[in-house]
Amino acid sequence: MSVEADRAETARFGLWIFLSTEVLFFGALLLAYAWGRVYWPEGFATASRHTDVLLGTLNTGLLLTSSVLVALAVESPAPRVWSLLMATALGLAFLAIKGLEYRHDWRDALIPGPGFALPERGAQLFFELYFVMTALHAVHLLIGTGVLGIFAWGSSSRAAWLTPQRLELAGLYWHFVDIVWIVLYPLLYLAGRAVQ
Amino acid sequence: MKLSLHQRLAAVWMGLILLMLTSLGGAYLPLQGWNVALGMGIACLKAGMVLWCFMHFGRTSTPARLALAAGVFTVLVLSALSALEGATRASEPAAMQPPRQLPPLRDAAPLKRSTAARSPATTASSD
Repeated sequence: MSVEADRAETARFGLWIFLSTEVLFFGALLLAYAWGRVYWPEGFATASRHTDVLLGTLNTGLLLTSSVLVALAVESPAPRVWSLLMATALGLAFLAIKGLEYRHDWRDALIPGPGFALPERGAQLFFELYFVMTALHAVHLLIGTGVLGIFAWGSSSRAAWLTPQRLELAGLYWHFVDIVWIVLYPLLYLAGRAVQ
Repeated sequence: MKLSLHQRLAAVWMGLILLMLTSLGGAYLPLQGWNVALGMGIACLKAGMVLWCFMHFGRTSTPARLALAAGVFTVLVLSALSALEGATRASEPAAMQPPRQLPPLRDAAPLKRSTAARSPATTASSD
């Protein structure tokens, strides 16, 4: 194995270790969600019905599409500026829609604390977890969007630092953030929708 | 038949969007509480597609696979231990005491009100 290939493999390995720690990070939050759902199933189901399923589904579609665009940029023989720019724009659109959702939550008194709208036990805990999980995801997404934006700029200016290996690492991070949202989507937006 | 890069990615994208819509529709079906299981099953399928088709987990090195497996394994072990602890502990929650606002002293004289407003802690510290 050449030195360059060895270096690329080491970097890839390092990123997978980082992603592994992220699994631990989000895993603890998912465990807290599971615990709350077991103890207060009614409260969690009622609270889940108050999240905006339309905007949540739209955001899921945006992230899935952005992942395809990032995969296209990574796997193409030459880095594609437009696919990176589109993925960055979709990331920003996701954050804007998330902000809109938070605004609706504020309007509907769904922010945990005094004056919380839902009287069911556990509903407030659901929204505490909802805000913590979505906000942490949004922070990750903001970082990823910034990285993709920088790579789009580097790709357009044919910067020497933009190597396929670095783009691949950025892609791995973006796909992981996408996977986190894929798991959050049914837990936060879909649970409790069915009329039994 | 060998698919081009664009064709392959378009097929994966359509699969992911179809699964997303399936989980959305499935959430409204009367499945006697199995909706969450259906939603999580589809989510695992979608996550697997991203992991295999975009992150190429199947082609990554053994140490990298072990790194991710170690993270997942640790989460599962800690979750199982936490669940065991929660399931075997006697649950005797304390009575909920919502925060209360004392009624205002409407008829008190101004001097008396300012004296009453001083908390015991403040009085003690000033002494």
